[in-house]
Amino acid sequence: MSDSLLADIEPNQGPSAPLPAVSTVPSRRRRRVALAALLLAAAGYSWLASDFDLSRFAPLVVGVPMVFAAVAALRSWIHHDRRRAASRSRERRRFGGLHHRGVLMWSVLAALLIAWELRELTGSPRVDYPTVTSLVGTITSFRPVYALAFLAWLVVGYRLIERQR
Amino acid sequence: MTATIGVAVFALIAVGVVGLEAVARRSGHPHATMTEVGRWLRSHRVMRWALLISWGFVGWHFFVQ
Repeated sequence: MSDSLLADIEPNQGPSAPLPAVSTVPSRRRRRVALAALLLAAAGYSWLASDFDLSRFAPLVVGVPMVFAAVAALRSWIHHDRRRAASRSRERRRFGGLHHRGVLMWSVLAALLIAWELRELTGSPRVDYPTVTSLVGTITSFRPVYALAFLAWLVVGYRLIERQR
Repeated sequence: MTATIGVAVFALIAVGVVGLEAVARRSGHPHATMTEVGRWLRSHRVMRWALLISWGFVGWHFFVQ
């Protein structure tokens, strides 16, 4: 409902009278509750996934969120692209308006990680040349850490497919 | 000794990530947070799919293989 329409239906108000603010508190609270429920469900799922007795079902446990993410991404991104196409302000800014130094710093860190990972990958034995995979494999041999890592993976997936505002 | 150096370099990179994120979150600083860089990357259609495929690969690699 537009502000002018609200002004039209409010009786006994002069042109300078303040318009009643449309409350967004219930929808915000609903969104927060839904997010908390989603996080709780993801935590439960991660704990289930970390059960080493169920390791033979690992492809299914990992595959389900992947398929769900792909479908949700397709829907979310089609909606996003349509909305962007409909809006007139489609100006392109370099680095999306981010400061070039910020992008450069993150790029340097990513390049360092890739370079060091490649250097370690070419070394042998693995005990002397640990890679990200071997390090993660070591620390996730404890069930709570495995569950936390799985939850982090799910959260990153959610952040990837959520609609951009 | 070689393993210690290897782990130390990875730890340094991790400290760099946390430090850069902390600096970027300070108001008025020109650096970008990881979320902002992620949002910029996701604004490109190809990058969006590349990120999603990378996410899937990471999950499969760490939790299935």
